[in-house]
Amino acid sequence: MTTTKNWKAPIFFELDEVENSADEDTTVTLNYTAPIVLPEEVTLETSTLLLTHDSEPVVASATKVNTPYPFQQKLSFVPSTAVYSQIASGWWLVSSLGLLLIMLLVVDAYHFVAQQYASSLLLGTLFLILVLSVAAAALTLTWRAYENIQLLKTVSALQREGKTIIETNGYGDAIHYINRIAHFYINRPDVKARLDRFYIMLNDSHHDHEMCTLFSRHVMKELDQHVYRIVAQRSKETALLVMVSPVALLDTLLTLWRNVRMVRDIAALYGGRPGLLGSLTLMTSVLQNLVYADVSEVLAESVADAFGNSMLAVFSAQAAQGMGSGILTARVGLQAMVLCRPVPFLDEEKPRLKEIRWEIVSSLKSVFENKDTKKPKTKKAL
Amino acid sequence: MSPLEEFVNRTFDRQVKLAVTGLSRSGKTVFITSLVHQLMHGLNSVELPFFQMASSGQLRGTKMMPQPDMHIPAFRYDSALEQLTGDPPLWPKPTEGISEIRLALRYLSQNPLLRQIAPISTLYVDIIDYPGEWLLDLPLLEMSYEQWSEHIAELCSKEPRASLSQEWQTFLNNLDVTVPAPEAVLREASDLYTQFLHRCKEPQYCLSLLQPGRFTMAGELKGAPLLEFCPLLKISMETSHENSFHAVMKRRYEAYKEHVVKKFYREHFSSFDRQIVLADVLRAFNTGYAAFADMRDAINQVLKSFHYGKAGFFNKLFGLKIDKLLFAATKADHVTPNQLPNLERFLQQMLIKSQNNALFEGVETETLALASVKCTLAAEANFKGQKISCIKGIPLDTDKPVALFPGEIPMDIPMSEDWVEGRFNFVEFRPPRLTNAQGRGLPHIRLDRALEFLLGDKF
Repeated sequence: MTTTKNWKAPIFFELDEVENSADEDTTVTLNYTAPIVLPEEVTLETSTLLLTHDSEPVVASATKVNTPYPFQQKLSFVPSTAVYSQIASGWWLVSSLGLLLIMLLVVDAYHFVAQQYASSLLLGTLFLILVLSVAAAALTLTWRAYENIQLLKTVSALQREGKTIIETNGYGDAIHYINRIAHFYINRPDVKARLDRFYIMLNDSHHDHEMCTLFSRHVMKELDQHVYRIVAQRSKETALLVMVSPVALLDTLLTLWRNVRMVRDIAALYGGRPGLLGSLTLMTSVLQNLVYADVSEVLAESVADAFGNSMLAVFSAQAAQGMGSGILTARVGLQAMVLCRPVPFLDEEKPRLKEIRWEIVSSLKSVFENKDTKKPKTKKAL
Repeated sequence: MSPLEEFVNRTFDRQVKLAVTGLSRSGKTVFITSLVHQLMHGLNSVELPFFQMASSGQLRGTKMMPQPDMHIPAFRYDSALEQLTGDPPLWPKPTEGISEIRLALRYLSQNPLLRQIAPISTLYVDIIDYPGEWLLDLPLLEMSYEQWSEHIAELCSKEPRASLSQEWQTFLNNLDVTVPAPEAVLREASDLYTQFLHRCKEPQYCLSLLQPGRFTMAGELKGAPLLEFCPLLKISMETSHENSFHAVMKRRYEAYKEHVVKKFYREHFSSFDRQIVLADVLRAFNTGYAAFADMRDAINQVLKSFHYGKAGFFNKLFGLKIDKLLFAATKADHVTPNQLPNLERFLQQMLIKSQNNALFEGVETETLALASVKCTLAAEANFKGQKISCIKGIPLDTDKPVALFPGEIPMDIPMSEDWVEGRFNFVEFRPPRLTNAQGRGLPHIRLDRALEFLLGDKF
C-alpha cells in the first residue's frame, strides 16, 4: 500500500460504508460482547465462513476464502526440466503397462463371457453379472483411493500454505487458512468444543502468526498428545513383539504391518481418511523423508541408542533388536505426524523421540524384571 | 507477612515485584487497572489466550491482598475501574501520588516435586503506580548540581525550549549568581523555571524530559521550600560566597536529591524483578520530532537508573535485579491492526540504546504493541477504489462513533524535516462502553502476551 503514504490521515468514513474485517466476521460474533455500542446500522455478521463450510466437501470448492493467495503461486515448486522428463518417461512406461494389462483383462473377460454365452445363456448372464460387479467394485475402490490421495495432497498443500503464512506473519490471511483447516474437524465432537472456544478467543487484532500459534495450542495440542500416545504405544508394542518373536522374517513383517496401521491411524486422527493405497503413499513419503533425513541427526540418535541401550544388549540380543524396531516405529510415527498435521508444527511443539525411547526401554526392562522374578528359565534367543 | 517470609518468598520465586515504568500519560494506571481486572476475571478465561496459566485453567483465582507498606496508599483499583466502566466511560484521572497493590495468584503447581508437597501455590505480585513525572528524578541521583545545570543549559539552547524558557533565561542572565541574593529573587527564579516546565508540558509541545519531576507534579510537597530552586545557565568556577545564589541553589538541589529522590528511589525503585516500559509513541508522532526525540531521551535516561542482570540464586539473595524487560507501545488500538508490527519496530528503534544495555547484562527483552483497554474495532472500507483497513471507535472530543483510517506508521524513524505539520494525526479515542465488565476481562490487545512474558515463567 504505497499509495496510502500520500493521503492525509485521518480519513473519515461513513459508518455504514465500512465493513468489518474478515476476522470480525468469523469470530463467532454472537457471543462477542461488543466493546463499543455502535449505531444499529452497523451489522456484525456471524461466522458465515464456518457455517457455509459445513456442507462443502473438503477438497473441492473455490469460494472466496478458498482461493489460493498470490504469494503461494510465486513459491510453487517447478522441477528442473531434466528431472521432469525423467519422471514423465517413467510415468509413461507405467501407465502404458497398466493400460495394456487392463485391456488384456477386458479382452480376456469379453472372450470368456462370450464363450459362456455360446454354451448356455444362463451361464453367460451369470458370469456377465459377476464380471460387471467386479469391475464396478474395482472402479469404486480406485475412485475412493484417488479421493484419499487427493485429500492427503490437500493436507500437504495446507501445510505449505501454513508455513508461508507463519513465516510472513502478515495480517488477515491466517483466518481463511484456519477456517479451511477447521473444516477438517467440523464433524468431530472431540475437537468441535475446542474449535468453538478458539474462535471466541480470536479478536481482530491478532496477527497471522499469533492466530496459527493459538490454533496450534488450543485446538491441535490435544490431538497431538493423543497421536503421540498412539505412536508411543505402537512403538512399545512393536518392540515387545519383535523381542518375543523367534523368526527374523516375522519380525520384519510384524514391524511393517504395525507401521502401516499406525500411519493410517495417525492420518485418520488428523482428519485425513487414507485407505490402503492412501496409507501406502503416505508410508512411502514417510520413508522417503526418513531416508533423506539429516544424516548427522540420525547418526547422533543411533549412537545414543547404541550406547544408551548397551545395558539392554547385555540382557539379550533379542531385546536390542526389539529396541531397534521400536525406535524405527517411533520414528516412522513421528514423521507421519509431521506429514499429516494440516498446520505445520511450530518449532517448540515438534514431537520428540526422547520420551518414546525412554518408554520403550522401560517397558522392555520391566518385561525382563518380570521374567527374572517369575520365570528364571528364560528361553534363549535364536 | 513478616520480612523473613517475604525474603524467602522472593528467593524462591513466589513473589514478583513488577516495575510499571512510563512517562506521564503513558497509560500506567490504565495498564495496572486492566492487568488487575484481567487476572481477577482470568479463571478459565478466553480473554487471555496467550497467558498460559489462565488459558490452561491452572489459575485458581486472584485476590487483592493488603499491601506490605502501610504508609503507602492502596492503588485505587475500584475508582479507576469505575471511571473506565462508568457511563459515559472515562480514562482514569492522572495519578498524583504513589500507590501500591499486591495481588495473590493461586495456581496449580506444575513442578512435579512441589506438586507432591503443595498442590496449590501462591504467587504474590507487587505493582506500584506513581506519577510518571517523578520518574525523571531518578537520573538526578547520578548528577551533581553543576552537571545537571550544564545538561539543562544545553537543552535550553535548542528549540523549542529556547523560546519557551526565554523569560527565565533573561532573568538569570541579568543576575550575578556569585553574590548572595534575597529570598524573593530566589523564589522568582524558581517560579520562572517552574512556569517554563509547565509550558513545556502543554499539549502542543508535549516535552517529556522535564526535571525535576516534582516541579510539574508536586504531590504532597506542594509549596514546600524544597522545591524552590533552579539550574544555572553558566557555572562560574570561582569560589563564591557561602550564601551566594549559586551556593543556595546547590544546597537546595542536594536537599531535594537527599530527601525526595533518594527516598523515592530507596523505597520503591531499588528492587524489581520484572519491568515493563510503557511509551505512548502515537502522541509523540502527533506533536512532532522535538517531542519524539525528547521522549526517547527521557526514557533512555530513566532506564539507566534500574539494575539489570541475570537472576541467579545469589542475585535473588543479595539485592534484586530486573531479569526481564518488556518495551510496550501503548494505544495499539488507535492504529489499524496491520500497523502493529510497524509500531513495535518503531519503538524498538527508539529504545535500542536501553535494549542494548539490558541485553548486554543478559536480560531477556521483548517489544510489544499493546492496548490495555481496546477501544476500537477493526474494519475495512473502500476508498478511491482501494480496500483499506480502518478502525471504528468514539473519538475523545465527540460523542458519536466514527470509522476512520488513522494513517500509517513509518517503518523507520523519519528525518526531522519529514515531521511536517499534520503528517501524523492519530485520533485519541474514548474508552469503550462495556456491557459486561463485571463478568469478563476488559477487551485488550496483547496484554496476555505481556503477562506471559512478564510472569509466565514464575509459575
